[in-house]
Amino acid sequence: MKDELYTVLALGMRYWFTLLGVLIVWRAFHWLRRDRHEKHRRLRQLPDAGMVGEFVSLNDAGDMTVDDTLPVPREGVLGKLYSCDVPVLCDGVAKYHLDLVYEDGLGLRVKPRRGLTCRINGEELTRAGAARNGVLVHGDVLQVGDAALRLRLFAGLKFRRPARKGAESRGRERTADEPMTPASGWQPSRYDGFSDPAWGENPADAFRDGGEAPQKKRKSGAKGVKSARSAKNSEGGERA
Amino acid sequence: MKRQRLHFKLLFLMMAALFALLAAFGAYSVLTYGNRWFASNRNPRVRAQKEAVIAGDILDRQGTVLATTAADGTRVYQSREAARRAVVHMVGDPQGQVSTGVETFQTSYLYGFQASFTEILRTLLSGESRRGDSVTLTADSRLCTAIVSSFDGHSASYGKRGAAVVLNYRTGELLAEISLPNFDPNRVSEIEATAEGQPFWNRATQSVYPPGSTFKTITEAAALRNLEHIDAFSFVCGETPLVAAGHEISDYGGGAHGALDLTGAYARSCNKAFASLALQIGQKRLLQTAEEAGFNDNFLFRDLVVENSRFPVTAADDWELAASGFGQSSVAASPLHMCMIAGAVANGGVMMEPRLLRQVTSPTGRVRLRYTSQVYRTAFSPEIAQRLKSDMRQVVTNGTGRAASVNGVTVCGKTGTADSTENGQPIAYGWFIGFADEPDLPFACAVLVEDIGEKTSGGAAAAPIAADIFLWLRQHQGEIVDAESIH
Amino acid sequence: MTRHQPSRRLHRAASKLSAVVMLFYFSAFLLLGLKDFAWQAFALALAVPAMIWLGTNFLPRLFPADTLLLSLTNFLCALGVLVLYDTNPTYAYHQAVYYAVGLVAMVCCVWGVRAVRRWGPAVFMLLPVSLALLVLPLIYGKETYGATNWIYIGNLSAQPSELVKVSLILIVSYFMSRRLFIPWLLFAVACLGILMLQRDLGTALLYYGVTLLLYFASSGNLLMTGVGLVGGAGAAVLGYRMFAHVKKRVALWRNPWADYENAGYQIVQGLMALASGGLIGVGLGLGSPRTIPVYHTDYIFAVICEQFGLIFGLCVLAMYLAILWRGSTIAMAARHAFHGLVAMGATLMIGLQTFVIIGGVIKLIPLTGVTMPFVSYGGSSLLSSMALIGLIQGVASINEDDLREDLRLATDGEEAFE
Repeated sequence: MKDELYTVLALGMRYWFTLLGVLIVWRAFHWLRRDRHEKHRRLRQLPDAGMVGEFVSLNDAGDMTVDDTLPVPREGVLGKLYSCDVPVLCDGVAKYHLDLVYEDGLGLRVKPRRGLTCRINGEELTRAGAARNGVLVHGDVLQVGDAALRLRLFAGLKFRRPARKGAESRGRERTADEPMTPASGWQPSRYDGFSDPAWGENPADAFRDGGEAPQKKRKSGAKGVKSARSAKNSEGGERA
Repeated sequence: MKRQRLHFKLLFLMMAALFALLAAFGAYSVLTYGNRWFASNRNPRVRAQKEAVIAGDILDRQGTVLATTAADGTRVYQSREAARRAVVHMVGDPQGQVSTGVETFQTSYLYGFQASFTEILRTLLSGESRRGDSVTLTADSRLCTAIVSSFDGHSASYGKRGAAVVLNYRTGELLAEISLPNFDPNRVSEIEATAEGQPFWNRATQSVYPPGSTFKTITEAAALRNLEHIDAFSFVCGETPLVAAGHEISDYGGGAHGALDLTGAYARSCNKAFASLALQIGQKRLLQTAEEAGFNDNFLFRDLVVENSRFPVTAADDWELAASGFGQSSVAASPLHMCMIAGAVANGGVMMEPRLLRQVTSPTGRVRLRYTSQVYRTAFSPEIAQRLKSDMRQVVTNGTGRAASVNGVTVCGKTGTADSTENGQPIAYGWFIGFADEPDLPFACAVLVEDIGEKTSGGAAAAPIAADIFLWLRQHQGEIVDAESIH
Repeated sequence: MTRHQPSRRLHRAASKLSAVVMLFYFSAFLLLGLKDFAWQAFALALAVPAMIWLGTNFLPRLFPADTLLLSLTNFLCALGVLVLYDTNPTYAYHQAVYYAVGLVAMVCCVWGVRAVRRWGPAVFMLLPVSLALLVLPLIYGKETYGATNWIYIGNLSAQPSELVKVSLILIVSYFMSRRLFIPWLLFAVACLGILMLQRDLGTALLYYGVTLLLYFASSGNLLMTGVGLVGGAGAAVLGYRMFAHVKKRVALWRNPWADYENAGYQIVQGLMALASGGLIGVGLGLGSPRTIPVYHTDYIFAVICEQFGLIFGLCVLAMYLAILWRGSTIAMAARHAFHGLVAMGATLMIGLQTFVIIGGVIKLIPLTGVTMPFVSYGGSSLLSSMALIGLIQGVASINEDDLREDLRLATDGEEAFE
């Protein structure tokens, strides 16, 4: 009798277990969907998530104009294709031209692909030499093909300024030997914190100790502010 | 990194597609093949359930009990030995030696696996032991017995092996399914599976044979469909054999039929004429007509397990194509399928799905399943079917099938004599497929006699058995055909 | 190690899911307990839900864990314990122990992924160790089920090829993210070669699949991927011709009933179990699961489908898919190519393994010698699955940390979210 009772009970419970199984699956996928919404929401509020800075183009080359900004991820590829993380659409740039990796405490390491070169602050960089001095820091100019890009790193990121010949350990004086000048001229008011293209005026004011860049990561601020590309920075007034 | 992310997304979608494939394939397999896998006599769950449940009865369409469970739990079959032997391949045996018999294949009903939860609860509370469902077949056991005795009566000069199938061509109901040699299910333990003639083997559905001249039906259908000026077809059948790819084709007994048109060639069953027709039709079109009639299809009927019929997809040379024309290449079909083809001709070209289960009733009398007739495929167009029908009538009136004629019934059919080899020895099979072209006798049959020897033909060996079938059907007309079957 | 408080919204979602899961196992073990009135079943009815509750509520305090992944993993592992208890209680107790060890392994992997700063030296060490572990069964092991990939120490047995899966992913991801294709190719060929020698074709298939797919993910070179695929297909055909038992397996796949007495027995019994289950199963504790050969490892899915039904089997499949989805999302959110590849590699490994084994059970593809992740009985199998999940969790926790860092930088300490 007990066996038959158990049989009936187990037969009845089949529906229960099937129901619970379906419920568990439904809740799991519901959670997944909700997380996706959450992720999108976060991205909207923090559009620069995962980025370490941006490249500012210094000239009109190819499809780019002056003052175009290209966000720089922590790790990515620079090249001509749209599928690159930093798409530089102009002549002289290969499909996949450079690999970029941001190294904490060091800077943005640049490694050209096989057979390709670029220039950092005017100096030629090849694949072989990249191990030693292929590092970009805040303010460095990268020339790839026809394009000239200046790197801005977001505030709070630490990087080490490499000693350069003739440069002081603090501040950077570049006036005459600045290789590239924008054709249209610099518009200082558009770039918070940039005093002028030559970086000459009051370099000490522009940089705090340790070489940290003053820029803050662009944020949408309070909830509801959408565009991150608008050059707004609520703390802009703090700096010189 | 962007590219890598895109690739990750692609890879995930690929994995999702693979999983969807798994789900779809799993669901499809279990739902389609589930019963076949379950109903195997090696399924230990069935054995376990057999201890706990009293198996339901198997009845024929007249209500005659073909199998029931006695009080002590043993399975009891028809009391008359001739009857229980005749239906044994359809009904099955207690040990499942007939692997596709109803006893085994419908275990799911017979042993109460389909009982709903409330029914089980009620049985438990009442304290009785559980019973399985009763299964009513579409077959008529008296017809089966009559067919077996007809075989016995006519088989004096040749071996007692063969098969016969009778079905209702309007609804697809199987009226009889015979395989010889048969055996007594009450004595199943005394018989070896490898005994003489393999008595456990159901020749009607599990064996495929070369159809011989009965395949000319398909060839004629292909000719009618594809060849222009077929009405003007004329063939002079002389003494000299036809040669195709180095092989000779001649007719039975070396006979010459003279000048024949299509109907004449069919009625006289002229191999040479049909060989030349096949060569004209071509392998591709002949294959197409054969496949439309069900060759090379994977038969997945609900109530039956039927071995698939074969037609060669490519012909090695002209000889094989020509031989296909009169059913002697690697073409092979089961007697059930040939019966379905005859039924299609009778039914305006529409082939019905063969059904064996008429009704399933639960122990409390609730009807769990009532059969519905379903179209399996449209084999021929109505015009071609009509033409085939009239030609098949010619076969019986003044062709090779005269032995199948019955007074008062318009019998149509086709004979066939197929040569083959078995264990290296040549063997001949005698075929007759046909139907009754009567609105109140919508039945088709196929008769196969194995090992008829060199001197006999299908017309002589199988056709008389078919005649007996139609005679019996005519005599018991009122009892078999009820209002539901005639449309 | 950072103290981590999951946000309240996610916490609610987590508790709802784990509540249902706990209810499921409580009722399941209770039912099994009523069968024989064994105290162990009632104990498990309390212990398993308790472990699940602990898992979802306490582990996330150790590191920013992905709670959904934890819940799914817990569900599947507990399902394994349930089904094993139903068929053979001794196995269930072993499996529970393995599960505990697996949890430790998972946490170790998470810490490993988070702690190692420079992967170069780590990979440099892992490489020879992995190869050595792979070669070990050839020297020291015994042949079981036609393959020589087990080693026996005392009365413990282990399958090194399962454990090497983890280091394979780390090594391959490292090489791919640094674009060092030659070392990658050499390592991959070495692994595959050793596995071929051991005739462990199922694991070789997995290694090969994951390596090729990771190559595609990181390089995007369709041409070379195609070449790899063709090469793999060619190797498969070669294997078919060379190895007799591969031929046999393929023949069995087409028609297992032909050799029902010996080799086909397993497949046919599996199919019968699937069919008997129908849509909602024969009932927990009923049916005859033990008639299926290897019901505790390869064919555990057939047992699940028999007891719980086809619908529940499809639900289990959906759970695996949820794990894959989650793993892919985590991989896509990674900041470094290496982390992304690690997470994706682990995900692919789990996914491919599940596909191969379930495909074999339902006769979609020939049967191979792999087990079902999380559910199958077996220390090495469970350990490696949990370690893989640990890798994914590690990457997820790094993602979380990175996100918080970004948030901190952006708000300078202010609260931007609730």
